[in-house]
Amino acid sequence: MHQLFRFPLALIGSSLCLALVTPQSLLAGGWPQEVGRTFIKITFGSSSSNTVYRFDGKTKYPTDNGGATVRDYPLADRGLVLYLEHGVTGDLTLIADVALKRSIITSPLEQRTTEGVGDVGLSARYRFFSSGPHVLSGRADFSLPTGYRRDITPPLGNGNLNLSLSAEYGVSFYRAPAYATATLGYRMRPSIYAFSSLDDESEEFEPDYADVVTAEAEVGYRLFNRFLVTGSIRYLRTTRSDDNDFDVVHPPETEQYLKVGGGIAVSVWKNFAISADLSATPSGKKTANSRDLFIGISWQGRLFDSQSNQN
Amino acid sequence: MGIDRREFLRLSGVGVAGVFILPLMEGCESHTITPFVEPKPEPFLTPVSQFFEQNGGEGAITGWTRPVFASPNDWSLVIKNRNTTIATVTYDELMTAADEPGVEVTLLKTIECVLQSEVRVSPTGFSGNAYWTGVPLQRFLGGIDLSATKRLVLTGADRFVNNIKPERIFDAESMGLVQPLLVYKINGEELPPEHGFPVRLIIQEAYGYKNVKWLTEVQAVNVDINFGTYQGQGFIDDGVMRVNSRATSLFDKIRVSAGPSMIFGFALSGFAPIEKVEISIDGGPVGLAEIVPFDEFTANLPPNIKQIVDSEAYPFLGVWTPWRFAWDAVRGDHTIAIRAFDTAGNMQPDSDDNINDGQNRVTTYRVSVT
Repeated sequence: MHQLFRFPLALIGSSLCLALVTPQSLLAGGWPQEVGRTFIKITFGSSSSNTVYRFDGKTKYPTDNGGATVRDYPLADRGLVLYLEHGVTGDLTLIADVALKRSIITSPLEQRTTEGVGDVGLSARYRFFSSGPHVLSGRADFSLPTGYRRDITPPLGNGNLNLSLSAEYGVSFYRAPAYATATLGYRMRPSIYAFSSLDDESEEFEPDYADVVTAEAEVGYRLFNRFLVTGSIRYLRTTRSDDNDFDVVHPPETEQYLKVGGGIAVSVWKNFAISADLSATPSGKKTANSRDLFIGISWQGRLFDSQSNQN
Repeated sequence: MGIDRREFLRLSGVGVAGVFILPLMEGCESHTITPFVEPKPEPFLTPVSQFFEQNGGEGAITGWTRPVFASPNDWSLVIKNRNTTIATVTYDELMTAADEPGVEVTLLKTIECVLQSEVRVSPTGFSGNAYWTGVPLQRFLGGIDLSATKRLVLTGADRFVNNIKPERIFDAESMGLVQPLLVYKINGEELPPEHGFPVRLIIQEAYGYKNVKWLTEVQAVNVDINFGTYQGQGFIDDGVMRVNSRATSLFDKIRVSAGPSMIFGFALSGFAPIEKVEISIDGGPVGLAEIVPFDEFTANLPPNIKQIVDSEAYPFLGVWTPWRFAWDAVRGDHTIAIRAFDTAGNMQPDSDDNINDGQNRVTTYRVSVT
């Protein structure tokens, strides 16, 4: 598989979290970076929702109110995501990501916009097993809020520290120019709020976000040695559920969703590639029924060794 | 393959520095609220077309959909004594009762949802004021064995459940309250589907969730426990509207122009009429808001409203009380705190000690004057 495309595209999508849904995990793939190689991707993401899923899976307008006008896309997130991978050893890859976000809630009477830096993700992937086309890695992710206010509407994130552990499996179908990945993860969301702040410090606001189980699969097929077409499916559910209504004001403590999507990446020049991905949310509970678009540009090579940048 | 010491230190340094830099990003955050319609004083009566809609079942009952009654004649109310049906009230029978002299009641009442949203969806939030026309529920409960009845289970066609204590119905007058009503009109119009067509319950002092829409069953039971769809989610059982106040000409973080201005709002209590509304700017001396005189509204009200007929002292229990406050806004950031009191001695507290009773602590708005 061409290294330029090795990076699983769904990952970028998952690193942009709708402020109104639980931050998604940074899960996918299993292949580590080569030693000393760096992968950088900048992605513009746009998630928009006209409806939300109720606790029972039915959809409703999030800010509908009888006779009042319901405006299009009352929930929206825009973001610019910076994502980096660096191969530290042949088996260990360090990963970081951060998003500059704009979250928007539009009711019949007003539009609320919050802009700023969302959570910072710090991760490590370690390859445990590799045999022929198969690879199996473990991954740990820390997600840290950047001091934003968790009690405003909309917030830039949940405001608590997250720790994810996941197993990532990948298989290459060489000689066919194709691969598949599968990821299973568990995200702990303890009520550690030291890295976020309060707008109204007189009111305690520390939601008890449920832990999350995630499962993800992706397939990719390379065409003409320049294009990579992918399809992905992502499932998330919290370890507990409740029958409280979806609340647009703050991210839900429990949720569930299935996202399906696809994308295309094109190698454009030397170590650069551009990509576009789309996904939708065909089912869910207490989550935004969003449509997501991601457009990215990536580079891969050796930052500190120009001679090795010939790919 | 191992990682060398220099590489390890470099990566560790970046990581540690990053963690310390994180809190510095807090200042990068911006939060703006752009109103599509500038806040203004709201009418005493909420037009039906603008009345907020909240359905408790939508957030609590699996598969909830709004009940559809093609005709009022499709509706009936089943009255049960324990598990025995003792009566079925049809819409025609309800109308026949309404036609009897002195039976039909028209009542001013504010419907307020026990849940309010930070995101404004209507100028008054999930609160609206109307006059409601109906027949006392008690009229149809003659066959109930009161000696063994502890609660009456109220069930809507959408499976939303609540309860009421029998004394609230049978001893209403001694409690100084209007009888719970089987209501079929709002502001003189037929109830719209989203507000319970053809018949809903209206309880004078209660939050919205006690006023069961599409009421189709009343069952007398001999158990005295708190229960109901909303109670199951933690909300208070009695459902009496706590003392609250709200400004309708402000919202939190609003920008306003400097100079003389008038702040408008309303206060509400289900325990007793509103006595006064205090306002403090930036924690300074407390001023009293002016309670808007009732005669400023009466031109739009029909004369048969119970509160008017009975010549009750205004403000009314369970009806929002508009107030206004003159403020000379000077440039800068200000905090406006509003606290309402009712005549029973209840007031908005300094802190919210029960998030399930619908009561807000002292209402506070941060205002930037430019």
